[in-house]
Amino acid sequence: MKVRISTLILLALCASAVFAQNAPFPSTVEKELAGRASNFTEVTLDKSMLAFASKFMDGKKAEDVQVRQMIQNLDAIYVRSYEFEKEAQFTAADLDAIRKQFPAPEWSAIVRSRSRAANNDTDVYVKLVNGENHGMFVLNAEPKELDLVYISGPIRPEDFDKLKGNFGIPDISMDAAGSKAKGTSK
Amino acid sequence: MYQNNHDVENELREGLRPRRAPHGFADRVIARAQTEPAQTETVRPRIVPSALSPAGPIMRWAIAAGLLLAVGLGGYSERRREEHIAGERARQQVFLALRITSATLHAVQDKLAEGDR
Repeated sequence: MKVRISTLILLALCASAVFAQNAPFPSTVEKELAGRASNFTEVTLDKSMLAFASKFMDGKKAEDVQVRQMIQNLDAIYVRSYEFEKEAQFTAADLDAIRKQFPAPEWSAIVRSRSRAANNDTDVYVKLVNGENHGMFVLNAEPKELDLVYISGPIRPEDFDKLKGNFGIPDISMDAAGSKAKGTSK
Repeated sequence: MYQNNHDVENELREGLRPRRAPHGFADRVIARAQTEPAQTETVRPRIVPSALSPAGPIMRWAIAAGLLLAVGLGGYSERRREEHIAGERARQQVFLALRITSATLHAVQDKLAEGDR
C-alpha cells in the first residue's frame, strides 16, 4: 500500500513537473508580476481540464455549444491578466522573458508593436505547422495593465469569428501567413 | 361489631391453619405423574419465519446490506455533487479565459485601428 501511495505521489510530481515545464510563461516573471499587481487573474486550463469543462457545457445553449466546439481540440489555455496601481510596474526585460518562450521560426509574429517604456507593447504570435495554426500568443501591455494569452492547439481566427457577439469577441481577422492584422470594432 | 370481627378472624385463622396432607397423598401424586404423559408447551404458530424475524440472520444481513447501500448511495451522490461543482467551476474558468482573451484581442484591435489612422 505504501509503495502504491509513493508511486502515485511520484507520478503526480512528475506530471506537475512536466506541466510546469510546458507552462508558457516563466514562473519567476509570473510571480514577480503577481507580486507587483494590485489585482491579477490567472487561468490555467490543460487538456484534461478543458475536456472536463466541456462535459458541463449545456448542449441547449448556443454559446456553450460554440465554446465546446472551439475548445474540444485545444491542448491548453493560459490567461494572465495583471492590473497595477502605478505605472512602470513591469519592464521590457519582463516582457522579453515572456516573448522568449515563443521563438521563431516556430512562432510567427503577426502583430508586433513596441513602445519606448514597454508600457504599450502589443504582440500577436501564431504557431504554424504546415501552414496550419497550432497555437496563439497575445501580449497586450498598457501603462497599468498587462494581459497575456496563450492558447495551445489548433486555434483559428475563424473560431473566434464564430464566437462573435457572445463574448464581445471582436471581428479580428488574422492572416496566418501575413503580418497584417485587420480589425473593425463591433 | 367487635364480636363479628372476632368471628371472622377466627374463621380465617381456622381456614388457613396448616393441615397435614391425607395419608398417601404424596405417593398418589407421584404415581399419577408417572402414568400421565407430560403436557407439552403449546407453541404459537409464527407468522414470520425465525430467520426473517428482527433478530434472525437474514434480517440482520438485510439491515446491514441496506445500511451499506445507503452509505454507498450517499457517497456516490456526494461525489456526483462535488464533480458537478468542479465541472461548473471549470466551465466558468473557460468562459472567463475566453472573456479575457476577447478583451485582449479588442485592445489589440483598437491599438491597430488607432495606428492605421
